[in-house]
Amino acid sequence: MKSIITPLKTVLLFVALVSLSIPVMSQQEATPGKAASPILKKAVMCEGIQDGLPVNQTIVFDVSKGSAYCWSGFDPVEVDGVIFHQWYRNGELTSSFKLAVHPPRWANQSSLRLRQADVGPWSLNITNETGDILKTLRFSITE
Amino acid sequence: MDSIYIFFSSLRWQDILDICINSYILFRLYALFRGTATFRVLVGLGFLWFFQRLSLSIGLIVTSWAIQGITAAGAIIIIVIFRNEIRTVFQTKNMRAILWGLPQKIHKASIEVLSDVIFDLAETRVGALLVYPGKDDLDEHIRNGIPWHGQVSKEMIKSIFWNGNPVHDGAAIVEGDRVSKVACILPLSLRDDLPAAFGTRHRAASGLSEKSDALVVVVSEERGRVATAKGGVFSYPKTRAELRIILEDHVGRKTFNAKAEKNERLEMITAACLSFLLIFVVWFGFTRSLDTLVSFEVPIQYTGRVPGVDIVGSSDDVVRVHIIGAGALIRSVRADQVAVNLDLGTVPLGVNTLRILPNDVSLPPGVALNRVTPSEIVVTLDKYDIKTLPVQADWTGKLPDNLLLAEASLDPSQIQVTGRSLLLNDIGTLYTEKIPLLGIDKNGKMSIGIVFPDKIKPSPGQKDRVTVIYKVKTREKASPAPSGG
Repeated sequence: MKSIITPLKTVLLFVALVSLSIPVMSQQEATPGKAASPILKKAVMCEGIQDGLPVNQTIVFDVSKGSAYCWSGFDPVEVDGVIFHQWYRNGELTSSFKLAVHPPRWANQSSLRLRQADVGPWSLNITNETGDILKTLRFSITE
Repeated sequence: MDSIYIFFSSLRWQDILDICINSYILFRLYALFRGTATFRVLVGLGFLWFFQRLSLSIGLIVTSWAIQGITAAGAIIIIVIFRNEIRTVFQTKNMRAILWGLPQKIHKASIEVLSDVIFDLAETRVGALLVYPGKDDLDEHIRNGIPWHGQVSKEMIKSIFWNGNPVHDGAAIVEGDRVSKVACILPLSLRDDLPAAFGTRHRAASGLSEKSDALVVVVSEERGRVATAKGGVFSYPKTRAELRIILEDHVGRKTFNAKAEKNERLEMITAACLSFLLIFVVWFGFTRSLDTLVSFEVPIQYTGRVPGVDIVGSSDDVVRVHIIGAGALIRSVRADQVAVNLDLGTVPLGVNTLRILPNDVSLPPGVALNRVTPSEIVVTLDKYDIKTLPVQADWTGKLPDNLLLAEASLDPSQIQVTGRSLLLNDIGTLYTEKIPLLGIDKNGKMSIGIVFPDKIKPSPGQKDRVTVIYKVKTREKASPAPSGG
C-alpha cells in the first residue's frame, strides 16, 4: 500500500507545481508587451497648447498662423518609454519627434513651423517604440 | 575527355557531309589520276597550298602571297598542259567508272582483250596498227583520224582491221578501255637503219614512237608477227603473256595477280583513309580557327516569365552579339541563328540588373561568343495588384479669422484601387480634388472627386468620389505651450 501512495504523491506534487507555474509564465510573457505600449487616449491637431492642453483643435492650418501642433495624451502609462510623432507631407516623411512618456499618465506635443512651401495635404502618425501606428491624424496647410 | 566530347557535340551534320564529300572527291582524284604526271603535279599543288597556309599562319605575308600566286597559276597550267590526259580520264570512262569504279580493272580487262585479239589477228594474217598514248599529246603527230569511242572488245578490234573495212589501213588509238580514234595517219620514220622488210605500218609505228612516248603495236600482214615500238625501239613478243606485260608496263601497271590485287586494295584503303584525314585536317583548319569577328544586333527574348508578371521597362531591347570563328563559318551565320534568351523565372518583381552570360546566348555550332554589349540589362518586372488606400481631403484657401475647421470625415474613408504593384507600393494615401474653404461658415457636407495617380484606377465597384462631412467651430484664443506631463 505504501508503495502505491508514494508514486501518487509524486504525481500530485508534479501536477500542482505545473498548475502554479502556468499563471506565473503567462504574467511574465504579458507584462513586457503591456508595459511597453502606453495607451493613447486622445490625439488632436491644434493651433496651440495652453496649460498642457490643446487649443483651437483644427484640421486646416493657415500658413499665416505660424505653427501647427500635435497633442497626444496617454492614459495609463505603466513604465517609462517613448513614442514618436512622424510628420508626412504628401506621403513623404518630413520630420520625426521622439517624445518621452512617464507613468501614470502623460501628454506631449510636437509642432511644425509653417512655411509657404508646406502648403498641401499632411498626415501625422503617432507610433509606439516598436513602430506600431497608434493613430493617424490628417490635416491640410493652406494659404 | 570533356573537350573531345564538346568537340564532337559541336559538329553539325553539314560538317560531317562536307568532310565526307570532299574526302571522296579527293579519293576519286587519286584513283583516276594515280600513276600519271597529272597526279604528281596535283600532289605538288597540294603541298604548295599547305605551305601557303602554314606561312600565312606564322605571319610570312610575302611568302604566303607568292605561294598563293604560284598555286593559282599552277592550277591553270595543269589544266592547259594536261588537258589531254584529263580529257582521256573523263572521256574514256563512264560516269559509274568516274564515281565508283577502280581504273585498274578496266586496264586489266582491256589489256587482256587486246593482247588476245592482237595475236588472233597475227594468226589470221590480218595487219593492224594500235597506238597506246603515253603522257605526250599526240594531236600534233597524228593526222586525220575518225572518232570512234568504242569499248574495247575482240569483235570490234577485228572488225576495225578487217580488210573490207574502209578504216582498216589506219592506226587505232586505244585510251584506257576505249578505242578513241581509228584510221589515224601516223608520221613515218625517216631512219635509214630500219630493216628493209619493214613496211609502212612498221615505219609509221617507229615514226610515232620516236616522236612521242606512245607505245605502238604492229601486226604484220605478210609474216603474221607482232611487234611493239616504244621510243624508236622494237620488241617482238612471242606470246600473249609477253605482250600483256609490255602493255601493262606501258600503262604503268604491274602484272595482275592475287598479291598485286591485295596490295591494290590495301593502297586504295590507305588512300581513302588519308583522303579523309587530309580533308578533316583542312576542314579543322578552316572551321576551327578564330580569325574572323562579326557582330549582330539581336533582340532579347525573355523566357520563363511568371503568369501575370509583365515587363514594364528595360534598359535595352536589343544587344549587339560579337561572335568569333573561322571566316568560312562566320560568313554562313545568319542573324536569325543568333539568339539571346534571358530567363525571368527566378527574377523578383521590381528593378533587376541581369548580366548576360554565355549560356544565355545561343549560337550555331562552330562559332564562339566574343562578347555582348551591353553585358547587363536593367529589367523592371511588375504585376497588377489591388490595394485599399485611405482618402484624405485636400483643403485649400482660408476660412474667416473667427472660424476653424474642427474636423471632417469622408464617406467612404477608404477606396480599393488596382494598378501596378510597384506603383501601389509608393502610394499610401489618395487625395480628393482641391476643396475650397472660401464660403464655408457652418457645418455641412459635399461630394468631391478623388484624384487617382497615373495608371491607378478604382477597382470594379468602387466609387471615384467621396462625401466630405465637416464641422466648423468658432476660434478660441490660442497660445503655444512648452511640453507637458
